[in-house]
Amino acid sequence: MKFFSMKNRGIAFRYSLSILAITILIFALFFIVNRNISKGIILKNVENNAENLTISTANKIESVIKSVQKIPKNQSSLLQNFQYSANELKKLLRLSLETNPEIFGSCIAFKPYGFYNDSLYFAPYYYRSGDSLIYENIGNDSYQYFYWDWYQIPKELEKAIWSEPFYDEGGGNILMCTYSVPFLKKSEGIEEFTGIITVDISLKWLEKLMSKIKLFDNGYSFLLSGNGTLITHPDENLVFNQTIFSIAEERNLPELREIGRDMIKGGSNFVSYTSIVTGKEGWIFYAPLESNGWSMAMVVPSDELFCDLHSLNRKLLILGCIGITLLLFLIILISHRLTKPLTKLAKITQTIGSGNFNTGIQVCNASKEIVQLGNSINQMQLELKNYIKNLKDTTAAKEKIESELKIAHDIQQGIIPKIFPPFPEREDIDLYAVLNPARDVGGDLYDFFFIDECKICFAIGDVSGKGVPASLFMAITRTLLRSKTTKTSSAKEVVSELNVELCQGNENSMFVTFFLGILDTKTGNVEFCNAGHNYPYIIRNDDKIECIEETHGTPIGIFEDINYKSGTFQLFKNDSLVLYTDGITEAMNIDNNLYGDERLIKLLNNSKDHHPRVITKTIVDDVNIFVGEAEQSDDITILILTYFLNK
Amino acid sequence: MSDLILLGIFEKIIANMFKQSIFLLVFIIFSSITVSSQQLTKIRYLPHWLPQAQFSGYYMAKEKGFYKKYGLEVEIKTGSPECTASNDLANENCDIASMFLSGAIQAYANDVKLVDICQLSKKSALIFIAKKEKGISKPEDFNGKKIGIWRSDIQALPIAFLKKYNIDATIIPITSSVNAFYYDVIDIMCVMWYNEYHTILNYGINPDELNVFFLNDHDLNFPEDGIFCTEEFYENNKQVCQNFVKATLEGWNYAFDHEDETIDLVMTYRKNANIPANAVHQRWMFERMKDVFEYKNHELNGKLSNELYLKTAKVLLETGKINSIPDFNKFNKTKY
Repeated sequence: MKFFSMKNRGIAFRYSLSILAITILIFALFFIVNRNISKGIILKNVENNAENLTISTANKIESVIKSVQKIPKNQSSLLQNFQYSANELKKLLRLSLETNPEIFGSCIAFKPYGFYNDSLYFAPYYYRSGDSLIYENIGNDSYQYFYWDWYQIPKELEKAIWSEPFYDEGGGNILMCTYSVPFLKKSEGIEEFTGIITVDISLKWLEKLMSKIKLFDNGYSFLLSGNGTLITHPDENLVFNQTIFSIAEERNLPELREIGRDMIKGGSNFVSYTSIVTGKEGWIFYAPLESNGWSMAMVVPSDELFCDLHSLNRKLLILGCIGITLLLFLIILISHRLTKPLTKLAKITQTIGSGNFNTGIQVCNASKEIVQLGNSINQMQLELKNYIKNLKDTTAAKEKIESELKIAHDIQQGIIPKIFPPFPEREDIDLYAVLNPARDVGGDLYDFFFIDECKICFAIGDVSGKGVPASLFMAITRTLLRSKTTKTSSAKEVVSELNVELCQGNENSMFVTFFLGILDTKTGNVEFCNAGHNYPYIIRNDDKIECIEETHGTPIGIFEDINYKSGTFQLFKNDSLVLYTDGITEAMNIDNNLYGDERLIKLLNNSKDHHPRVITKTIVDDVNIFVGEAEQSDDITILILTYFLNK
Repeated sequence: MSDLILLGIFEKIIANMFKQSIFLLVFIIFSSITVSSQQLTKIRYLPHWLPQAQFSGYYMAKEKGFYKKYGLEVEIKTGSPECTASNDLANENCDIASMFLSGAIQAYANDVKLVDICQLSKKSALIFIAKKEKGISKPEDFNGKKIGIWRSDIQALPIAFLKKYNIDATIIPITSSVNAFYYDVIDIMCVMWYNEYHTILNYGINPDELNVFFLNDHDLNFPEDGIFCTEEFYENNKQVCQNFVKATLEGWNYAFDHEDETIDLVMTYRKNANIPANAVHQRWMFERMKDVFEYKNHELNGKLSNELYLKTAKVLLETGKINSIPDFNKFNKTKY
């Protein structure tokens, strides 16, 4: 079966197998239809022949039977109308045998005391014995003819009948059939039954006639009596001994019994049949003999019937096999020729696949489709070549940009203070900050520096947008912050100046949310200016969280003429100021939920250690846990300043 | 060398002895056959019907030499529908005959003193059959119909059935064939289950197209086939009768054990009598005989029971076939 599996097979194989299968199917169909039609025609012809032969034979038998039937019928009318003496009756019988060679014997059997008043039996009977005619009075105590079928049945039925075949020991001592006609006589004006006139036919006579009738070499015919007894048959042992039904029982052929039942009922048919002589399959045609209720059958053996058809079928099969073999050879040849360029193309495609785009394809003497396929592969080769070149260029450019961005990242990280603790010598404050850009470079910034001995300036900002433009704007902001902050500067002045500077030439309308605070480390007082930035929190020494909900204007870089104001708040010992960008509160997890201020406040509230590095790490870790596998959407910046109060 | 000479002499002696013993053996066999053939008693046996499987045991006893073994040379006569066994026994046309028990009781009561020397049949195989299309499905439906009954001494039994159900019908005497039934000359026919019933099936009538009335089912169970002879013959030939019965029973036992061989033998008898020889039919009959004889475990019982005898005789008395019931002990000689 594996051989016929289509899986992983070539086109040639599939093509050959499919065409072959269809061809065989068509041939088989043609063969079967042809055989059945031919069989039907032959059977129809045989049926017609058998029917004609049966009918002509039946007519022959009927003509004899009818001529035989006339004899006792004529005698019956004579006996009914005239009185005959015993001698005259004998003469009458003798004459009928002399003038009718087809009959074997004839009898006039009178009812008990019907002829002589003192004699129970009177049945004069003439029969043939060789060339002579023998006379006998068959009635006596050991042959009481009144109770035999040939007498009793026509008497009771009051009509002429053909008896079943019988071996008449009291009569002619041969196997015979008798035609019995009841005759009546008028007695006191009433017609009453007087006796039976019979004529006997030897079955040998019928056997001779029937043996001449046959179809084909081994066909044969047979006759059935009214009760299914075989009257004539090629197998003489069956005649008179068997009925068609006893044969059916003996040979266990229920279908034969059904045929027999139809035959004795006067049916006529042409059906399949198993010969009881040869045991071979065959066909039987049967039809009734109307005059005596017998049935005649003609048997034709199948092997002879279909001999020519079988021979024709054999030749057709051989021719078919040769044709299919030739066809198979042709299909393989054609399909190989068709698929050869495809195999070549497949090899070339493999070479192209390995990276050699300079393989030129020349398809000549091939079908239109193969040429098209070749051209397409050539075109594809060209396209691939260009594409790969472009890809190389793009990749080089991208790598360059990435390299530059890396440098930019390093520069950006370099411009914000990264060394912690930044003022290890000071015990009054500690400060910690982180900046994690979402991309290589970010737009967040923080910065801190002492403007004099006591005042430290610290700032946090978030530039609108992301990436390189934001990072450049952040660098400008940070540079301006350092340059504009002097010892005397207040927070609002620095922010106002930064705003003016950033608004100038800001064609891209970029802006920065910005928080700037100046802590006087002596007093703990913080002057601050919040330009649109997130409100900072203070973690008081007693762990209470306080939010500085005060804004002094829009983010810087938008409106040049804004005059920023400032506010103040007081830091006490161990208070920590928490500054952050919206990268914290707007951090998103994979379900697009925001980290939020509430979670931040809760986290800060639970923070027991007020050291800025610890708080920063706690916040960053919690944000990372919240975000999980989601991509960082914004730069994250935290700056925490803890005030320890100057000693 | 001397050993070889001795061996040769020894061989000659042995060879002579062998020749002599063969001669002696042949002489003994020949003389015993001659003696036995001289001593064989000739018996003419008449079966009460045409040759058929119903008489297989007799054919087989003759064929296998069982009769000869018991000192009998039996001539099996050909029965026919025309012969009445009781008449043939009375007229000394035969010595021993088989017949129905009822026929023998009738003969005894009518002064043909017959005795039962072996009662093979233990139950009746008589049945009435009617075509279903005639609408005869119970005994009452027999009224007004034409009923075919054989004209023989077994008439009493079907008549007893008709009497039991007060049936008023026309009786048509029948010789042997079933054609009168087949061609609807008669509506009902009394037939033997083992014989004519199957003949009718072999005329193409299916079993489901027939209504069958077993006499057995109507409390009319009469033993049938038995072996009979005249009282006089019995008294003068008791040993012969005993031997005939023993040989016949052996014949039946052999037949039942060799069915195919028996059917072949029956077929030969039928062909010799120029009557239709149908093996299937004879086999059917043979199989039924086992039921009728109540043949079990390779044993046949040839005894007549007083109960069945009285039952049969009573029916004959009631139907007027006999005037008094013969003494069972005088009638029954089934002692073997």
